[in-house]
Amino acid sequence: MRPYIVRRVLLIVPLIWGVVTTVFLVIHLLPGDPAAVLLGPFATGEREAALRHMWGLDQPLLVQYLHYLRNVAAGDFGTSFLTGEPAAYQILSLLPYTVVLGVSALVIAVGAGVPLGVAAAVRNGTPVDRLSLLASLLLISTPSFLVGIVLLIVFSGRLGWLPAIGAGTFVHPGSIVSHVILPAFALAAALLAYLTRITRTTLLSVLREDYVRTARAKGLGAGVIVFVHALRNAMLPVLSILGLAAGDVVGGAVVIETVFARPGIGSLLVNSVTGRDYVQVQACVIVLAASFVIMNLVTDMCYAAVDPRIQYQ
Amino acid sequence: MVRTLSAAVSASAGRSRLRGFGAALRRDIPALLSAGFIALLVVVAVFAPFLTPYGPSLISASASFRPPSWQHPFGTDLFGRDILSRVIYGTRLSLLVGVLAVAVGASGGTCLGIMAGISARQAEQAIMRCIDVALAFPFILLAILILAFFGPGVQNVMLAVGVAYIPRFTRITHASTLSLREMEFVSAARASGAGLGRVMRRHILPNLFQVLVVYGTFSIPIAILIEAGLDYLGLGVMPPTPTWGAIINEGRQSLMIAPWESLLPGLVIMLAVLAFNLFGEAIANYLDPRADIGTLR
Amino acid sequence: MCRRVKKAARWTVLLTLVVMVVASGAGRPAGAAGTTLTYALISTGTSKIPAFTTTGEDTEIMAQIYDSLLQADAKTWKILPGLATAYTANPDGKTWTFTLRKGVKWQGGYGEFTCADVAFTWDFNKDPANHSFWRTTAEIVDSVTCPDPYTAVFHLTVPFQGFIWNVVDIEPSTGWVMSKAAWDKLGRAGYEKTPIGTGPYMLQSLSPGQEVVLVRNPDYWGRKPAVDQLDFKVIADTQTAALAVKTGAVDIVGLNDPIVATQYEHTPGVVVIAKQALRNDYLEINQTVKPFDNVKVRQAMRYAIDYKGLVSTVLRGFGVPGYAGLVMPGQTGYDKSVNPPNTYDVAKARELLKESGVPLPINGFFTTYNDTPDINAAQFLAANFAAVGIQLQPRPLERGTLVQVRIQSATPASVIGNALSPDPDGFIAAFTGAQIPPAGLNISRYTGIDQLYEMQRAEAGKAARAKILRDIQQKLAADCPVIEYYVQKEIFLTTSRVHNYEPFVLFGGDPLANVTLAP
Repeated sequence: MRPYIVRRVLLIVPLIWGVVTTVFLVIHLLPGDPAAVLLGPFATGEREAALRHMWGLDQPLLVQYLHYLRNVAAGDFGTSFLTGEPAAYQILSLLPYTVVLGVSALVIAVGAGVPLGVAAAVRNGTPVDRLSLLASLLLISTPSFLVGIVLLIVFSGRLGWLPAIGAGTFVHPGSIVSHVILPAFALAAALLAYLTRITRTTLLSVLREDYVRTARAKGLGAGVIVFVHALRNAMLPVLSILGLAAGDVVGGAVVIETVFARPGIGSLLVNSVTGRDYVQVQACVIVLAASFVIMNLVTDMCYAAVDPRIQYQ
Repeated sequence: MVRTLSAAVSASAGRSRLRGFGAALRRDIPALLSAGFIALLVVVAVFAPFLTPYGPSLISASASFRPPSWQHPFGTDLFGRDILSRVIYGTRLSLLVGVLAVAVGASGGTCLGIMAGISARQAEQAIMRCIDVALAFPFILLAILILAFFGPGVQNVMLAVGVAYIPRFTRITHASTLSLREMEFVSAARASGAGLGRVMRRHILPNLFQVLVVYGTFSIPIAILIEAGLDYLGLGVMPPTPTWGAIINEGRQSLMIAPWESLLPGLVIMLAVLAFNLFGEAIANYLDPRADIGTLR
Repeated sequence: MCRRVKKAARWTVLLTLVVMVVASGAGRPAGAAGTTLTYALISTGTSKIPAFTTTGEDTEIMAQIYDSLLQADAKTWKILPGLATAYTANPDGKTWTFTLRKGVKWQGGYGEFTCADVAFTWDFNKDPANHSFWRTTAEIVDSVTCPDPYTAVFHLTVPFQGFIWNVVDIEPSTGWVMSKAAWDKLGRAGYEKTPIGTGPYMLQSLSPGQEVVLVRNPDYWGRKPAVDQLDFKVIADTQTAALAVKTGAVDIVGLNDPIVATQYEHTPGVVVIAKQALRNDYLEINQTVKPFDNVKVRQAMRYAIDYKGLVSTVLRGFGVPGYAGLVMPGQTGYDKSVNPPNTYDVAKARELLKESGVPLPINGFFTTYNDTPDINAAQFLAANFAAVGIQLQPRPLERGTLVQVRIQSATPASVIGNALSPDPDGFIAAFTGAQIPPAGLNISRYTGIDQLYEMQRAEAGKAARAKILRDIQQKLAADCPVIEYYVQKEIFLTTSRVHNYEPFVLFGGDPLANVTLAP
């Protein structure tokens, strides 16, 4: 087990180097020019050349790349073109909001998806099961921004229950909670539906297994069978997909943060892409991808820890 | 990921399998309806110009924001354009984007996956480590990066989503190739003197086909949804091009005064994605009832 | 077994509801002492130093921090005293003398405002080393001299009548005076962090991309503002911003989105303010590209547009059709007789196309910003042009890319919007040969008014200048270098607790110091 963990952790280093390199290359080959964006309608060739020089964009790509690698290794993501602040500073100040959103969405998805899946499996074949199946299929099939907009219009526009925009402030923890509910639900919707289905399917197949039949034959109560024997085994595939689901959450955050005008890494990324703020785009993508990599690692390890059948060299 | 398929199938069994699937489909009402709906979408896509009551870009200032009626079953948008006509043309583009993106991803990914699966260890490692890097990007992030590079437009969205799919298909086909390589019937074929290429063509590809069909069917609706998301972020198809996602996105601004503009095309997306999902499940169930469909994302 | 699951499900639902209710109660932070006005912007801007920014968001914020020598009244656009209490111009129009207000203190304890600050600001903008956006505007001033600390004398290089608008608090933002003492002490980076002005509010905190907080300046020379604190919050999406006003999370939003605005016209608690602004939107046509070198083709395109339909759909009525001679009512020298609103006449468009001898259909594309309403206008124009056989596909581009494409002449035609000054000089300058790229953005490459432009600039007599401006309008209407398709109204949504709010629709900031909030 330990060598496996060490190897997985060490593998992260080349992985993140690959991410950094990929992002750098893609970004620097983009058409469009940050100098022109910043200067807006008053751009002239002379002013742009001055800006490009100031940012070092007139240097050869390789020089820029080596310089960038050295800085990233030292924790310096460079200075944002648009704000003049260190890119790392913006990331650090916005990261808590994205973490709050992502964690809330995961909690909602798992906290509601798994019980619903259990309920559906237990009532296999009844109208409740069919309804949950249909509802989850519909949710999976709806674009997340549409879910977000509908929630926004119903719960803050029509009913006025929850705030429409922003993320609140950490000075008032209540405001953080109230601001995260709608976006977290919008972000969790598809994953929730998906987890419901997975839980239902795996639980159903586990319930058909021999050891469950044995337990039943032994006269154990139905509740004990479902929650002690079956669910534990059914959780394995659920756990194994949570790593991938983390990717959906990270990616979905980009869209959902834009819908709810939430400060966060995702909305920062979208703004930086349209603003051609190379430095900030690089920083955002690296942070998002790195967090995805780490979340994957963590779920894989949980999986390894939980499943006795899996052996690692 | 689709794990190893338990049953190994040889190519000759293909035709009878298809017939068997038809029979299975007839017993599965939701899947049958789904297949019907997908067929309808395909017909609509192919014959779009003959089916639209109005041109998709035909404006009429006096008919701005009309609610659904007999004249305009899906209502009209800001410009007085008929939304049904736009949805019909949108079917053409969205299906095309979905199917072609998956085709790009599947063909690219399969080539890489098989290559990695049959290559020497170093080459395999090189390919798979690059794939690991690509998989370190959440799907939409990868698409955004690629699209930012290509710029907006129908072909570019399709390419971006397709390229973003390559690593996923690579990993799946690689895993399947590896397990097939170790299987008895493959070893037997190799022992009887068949070349590596022949083994790949005759024995591995047909078996991969099964995995690809299942994964591909489930990938199309996701591709359609991703495309809609990219449109929402202003990075996808540009107006007046009508894709389903773009129509919904255009209606976003007028959601309160003209909800039909977003909701009816949204319904079409939902139904289409639903149909692809149900149909995909029917295929997966038929091909391998024990396959782990759950992890197909 | 089923019962237990049911119970668990019930508990989950109940718990969720409780959390929602608690959370919604805690939604708004407890009111701090004093009143706060929240204003939604699409970004926190790029710089709070007037020389280094052109964005509307910065202008809105800087207008609260800085003062200019003169102010324009938000309602009447009349010029009022500011940091200067009076001014005179010599008859030759080249020397302008301002009497400065006494006892005005700089924020942050940087001493008293004097003529040295005025001279510093203009020299700063002129110095090529500083790369000020307003260098061209500032260069019209040869020098600023200070006979005494409370008198500033501007010596111009030409007798330019429109000069007065350059010392007012609108763009070009040469008018806002910076503190010499503060700049000497803080340097550029320091001044960027703590911009020092003499205005009613001062910067308290700035979180890029999120929020800018201003607090009342206790030493302000003018009337004490009623609101203690201004929060500028970033909301990129117009629909979300409008909802925020409805829920009361935001008090004011400037909404360049007529479709969203119409949704709130009858919403209780929301006030929609629409004011005719000095901003026009037009299609610029590169005359060096065939067949647009043919003036009849350009004129035909002008007649092909259904202006009323365009205004009623794309702008939802928040605007009027554009003018043939580009200069518009509200600007100095507008003359209706030679510069009427554009009209829709398909028959005439077809006739002109026939006379032009250009074979139809004409195929091509034109570029546009990818924001609303520009992108909507572009789609409408494309459909109108297509109806007379001119097939131009709109190609939406993101802002920076469009500027690039225009400079590189990579587009035959482009939809573009402009905020204008009450004096037409700056606007018509854009259609002179001196502004052909790369020097400027005369994308049409039009040179027809070069001489007239210089004449009006050097003309010291009011009536004589008006006559020249009239000729310019006539010439622009005939030559059709660009097609002005509409003049938008500026739209603002406010909560009903906002009173005395008069949005400033010239390109400057709203006078928020006058706003009061009902409890």
